[in-house]
Amino acid sequence: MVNIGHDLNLDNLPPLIAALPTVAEASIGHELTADALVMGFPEAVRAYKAALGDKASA
Amino acid sequence: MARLSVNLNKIALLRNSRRTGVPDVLRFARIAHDAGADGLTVHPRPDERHIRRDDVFGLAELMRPWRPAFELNIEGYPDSRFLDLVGQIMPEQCTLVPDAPDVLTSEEGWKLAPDQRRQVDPVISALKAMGSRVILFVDPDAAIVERVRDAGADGIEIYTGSYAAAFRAGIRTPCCAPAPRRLRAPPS
Repeated sequence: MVNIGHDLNLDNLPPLIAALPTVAEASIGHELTADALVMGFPEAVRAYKAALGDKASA
Repeated sequence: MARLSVNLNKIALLRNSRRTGVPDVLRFARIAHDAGADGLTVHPRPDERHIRRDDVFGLAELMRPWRPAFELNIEGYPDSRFLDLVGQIMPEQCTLVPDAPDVLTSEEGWKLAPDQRRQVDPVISALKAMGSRVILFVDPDAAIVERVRDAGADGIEIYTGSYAAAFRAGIRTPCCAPAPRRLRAPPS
């Protein structure tokens, strides 16, 4: 099981997931919280879900 | 599809800058759940600079109806304090970091040389016996990753700070190869 974490954001996450499609989990806090200041916390969560490939959140 | 575990440390960090309890960590835990996150991560450091021990108990209580599908991941240095907390909370996942208590943030993973193996092997066994999945925070180094299986852990969390630093510098190689030292991000 491979997880990833640290300084992941909406820009660098999609190419990393594309290169490592078997990643099980990304733990994200700092960048998500920073984005939430602009877009709101629920929308930031949905944006990161979409960046991980969740089409329902896109 | 990779799961999203929302780390609430920075919400707690903001909360801790005043004595009003605002923002409420539990409120943001609920928002994360309702917005579609797959779980929560907390890193209760010994100095309680962000997530406090009491927060972890509050989160476990809030998450009770949502677990185990909505997972609680507790990160930390495996000292007796951490093991005591994990034993009471029984999180779905523990992510072990080799941090000294005074570091600003986790920027270095386990090397799993013999001295660390002697430290971490019994902890892994104990945590697995409690029912938690055990993940080791490691640098993106294939030689280290090879040692994880021997140590008995269930998996790894790859430190992606060096990848992110390279990405900021315009290096778009989609891998986790360590960035040159000069590209390393300052502690956050």
